[in-house]
Amino acid sequence: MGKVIVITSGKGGVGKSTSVANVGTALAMLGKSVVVVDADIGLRNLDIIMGLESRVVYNSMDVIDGSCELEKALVTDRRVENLKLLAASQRNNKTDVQPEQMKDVCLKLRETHDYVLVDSPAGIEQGFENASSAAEAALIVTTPDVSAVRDADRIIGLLQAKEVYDLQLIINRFAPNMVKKGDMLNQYDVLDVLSIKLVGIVPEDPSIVGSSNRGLPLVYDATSEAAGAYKRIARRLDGQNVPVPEFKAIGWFSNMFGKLFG
Amino acid sequence: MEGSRDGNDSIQAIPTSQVVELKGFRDGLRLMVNASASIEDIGVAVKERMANLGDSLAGTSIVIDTGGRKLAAPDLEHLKSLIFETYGLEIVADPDLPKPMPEKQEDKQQEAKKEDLKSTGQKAVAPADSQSDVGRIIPAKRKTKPTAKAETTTPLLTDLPSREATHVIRAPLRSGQIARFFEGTLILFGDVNPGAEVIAGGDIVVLGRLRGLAHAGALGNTSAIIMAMSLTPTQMRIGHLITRPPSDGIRWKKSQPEMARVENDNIVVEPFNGF
Repeated sequence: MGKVIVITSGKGGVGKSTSVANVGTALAMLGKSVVVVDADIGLRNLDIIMGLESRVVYNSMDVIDGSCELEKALVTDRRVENLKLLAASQRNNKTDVQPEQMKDVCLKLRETHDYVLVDSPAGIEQGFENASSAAEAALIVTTPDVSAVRDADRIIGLLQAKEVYDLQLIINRFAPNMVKKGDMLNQYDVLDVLSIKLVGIVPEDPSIVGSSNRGLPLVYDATSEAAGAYKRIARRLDGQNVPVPEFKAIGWFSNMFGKLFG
Repeated sequence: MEGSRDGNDSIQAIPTSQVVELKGFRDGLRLMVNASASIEDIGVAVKERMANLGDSLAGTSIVIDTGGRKLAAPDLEHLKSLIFETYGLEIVADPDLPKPMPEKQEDKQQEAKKEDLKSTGQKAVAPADSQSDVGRIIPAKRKTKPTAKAETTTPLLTDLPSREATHVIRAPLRSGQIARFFEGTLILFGDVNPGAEVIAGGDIVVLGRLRGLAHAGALGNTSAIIMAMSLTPTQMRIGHLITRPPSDGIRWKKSQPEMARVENDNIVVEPFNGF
């Protein structure tokens, strides 16, 4: 039996879908069986980022209203073993699905996969309720800025109220030069407010844009720093103890990172 | 604005007016009305008592308690519309069953925690005399000898009555969560994150970092104080007064315990050196 993890943030555009695509692919590369579920009904994009859009025939709405079997709706990624996608419907919206229905689907998927990664939409309303209905753990994604951190704090409060206490944080789009200039929060500022376990810091990487547009998750690119970060996050999620490398920025001190993973 | 009220605005004190009395009650307010007074006197007394309530009370539920005597129906209607139109307070129809707060942001876990902690205290039908509440903690400060070192003349804590309801919350507050205790003092073990709110009829003590919004003396008591191990709120209110941090923004500075109180109609912040 596997684990259902919701990837959520509160704030939009911080990199949830990107994180789901890359962490999911990286876990599959480690040999785990992974299914990524797009819970952003009506505004689906996980299939685009994974490059599987043209192969989607059925979506979660079809499964929920009984038009198709769950297995049939899963799209198999051909680039790596054991990675599947359950796409969202583009013509419905979040009120067309109830949390219990989403929960049923996720729990069924959990029986046959090691990881069920649910890509939550932004917000705290029904979309979030649907996405987090089956979650036993959550990955909170935030960028190092005040607005995103504020929203992440709210989401953490809501998850704790649902008694989801296995919460880990990804700080995304981290730019060491901006932090050094004082234009961006550093990881201490963020953790100071959020006070949950940090599972990884993904640096700002211009190659993300191209990878999203081409539907090729960044983890396939060995040279990208962000890809490396996502791979390390996958290994940490899987229980491995992975040290944080030094990011190449002027005057950056890796011993600051060291303290966080004590 | 002070009018016939003396400097001591505690909700436990007997107000100057014998006609109405406003008390915090669970998540809302209880307006005790002397039904033998004329409706005109009641109206005047209500206006006077409610004159300094802060904005945070808008949408609060209020129970009208006439102490067993019935107000005539048109008088009751008049009172209800006066209170609602003037102060935006929603009247609960049945005085025996105060409705839960309309504020939907109250976190369920917070609510459950509050209910746990308050289960020995308030019952739905409280006797008019709130001194008989169970579960009140007498704060240690009341037991100390008079302070010899107080050279300020502001009416500080030693002027407050010797018994006060206190509510303790042993949890941090995250953005969007609200802790509210109109009956008295609120003590919080943990941080108050930006976007969270702490509201009390009495004092507020945060054993952690206060980075959200705090409103002490929320029923119009400007002798209430706000104390925190690190006082960097987005906004602070005491009674009807509001203050915000300096315009160069809050920096995560090295913190020391600080206290905010009212002096000459301004909120002043000073290092906390004990009472």
